[in-house]
Amino acid sequence: MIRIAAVGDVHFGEDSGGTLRPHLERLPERADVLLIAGDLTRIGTIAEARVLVEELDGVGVPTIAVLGNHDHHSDQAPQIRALLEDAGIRVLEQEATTVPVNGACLAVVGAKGFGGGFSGSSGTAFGEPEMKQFIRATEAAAAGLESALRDCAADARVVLLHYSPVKETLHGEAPEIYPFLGSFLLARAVDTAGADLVIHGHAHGGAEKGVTPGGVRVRNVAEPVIRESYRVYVLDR
Amino acid sequence: MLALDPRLGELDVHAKVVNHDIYLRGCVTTDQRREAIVYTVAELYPDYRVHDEIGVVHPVEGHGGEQLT
Repeated sequence: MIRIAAVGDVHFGEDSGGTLRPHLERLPERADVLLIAGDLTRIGTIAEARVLVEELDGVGVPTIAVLGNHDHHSDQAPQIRALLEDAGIRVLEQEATTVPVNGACLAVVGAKGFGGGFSGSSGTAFGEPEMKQFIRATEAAAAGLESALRDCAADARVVLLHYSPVKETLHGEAPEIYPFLGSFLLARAVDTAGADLVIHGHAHGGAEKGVTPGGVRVRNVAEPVIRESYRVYVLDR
Repeated sequence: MLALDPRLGELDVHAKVVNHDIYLRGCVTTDQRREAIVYTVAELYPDYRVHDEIGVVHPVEGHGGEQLT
């Protein structure tokens, strides 16, 4: 049995100290690992990330994160990543890490992902250079995700994203902004390489549960969606 | 407006403008956050009356779980 606690979009600010930690005290009793699905900060400053690092200090389970679009806003993403990793929080971008859990091996494959939209109404790498750059960034993210998934062998494989791979978990958001919330290319990468579960955030107004076209469960754990400090998913391994 | 302001980056509060009134609605997780949003909007739009209708919802400890078979 592998118990995965997950939350996204905690959006820590410099005034957020003490808001999360009291709700994590029992985490080691309830979960084997904590995944954070991006948007750790409000505007992507080192000061905000430092508050979150202090909040997660000694949390008692391995903690793995991806960065989100807000974490890039102040152009300090590399420094934020370094700060988190120095504190023992593994940050993934188109790469994998493994965690031993009760004699089994859990692999977490993480990437921020990007937008572009979904099958039937997605953007294409056509026309202006800016449009090509946008879609090619998503194509590269999906290719990197697929490659990292292919390269990792484990008893269970969980994909950690910020952007959504499916439309279902966006329901509740305005359809006009779906292309900025995720891309079907991410789901295609997951279905091609295989996974047991996809965790993502980003869509505050979306829904928790979805599934890829290939049948992989997708869960949107944005804090405004789950309305608790984390949600636990249990894989029978 | 609130999402793009560099001091806020707020996604969960929306502003509705009616004549010279701004109504702020949505949910945040701390009282300090609510106060910061109201203060910032009032500073940005001094000629408007700002109405604070923001809710504060404190995240609770995770209790929900799902068995994936």
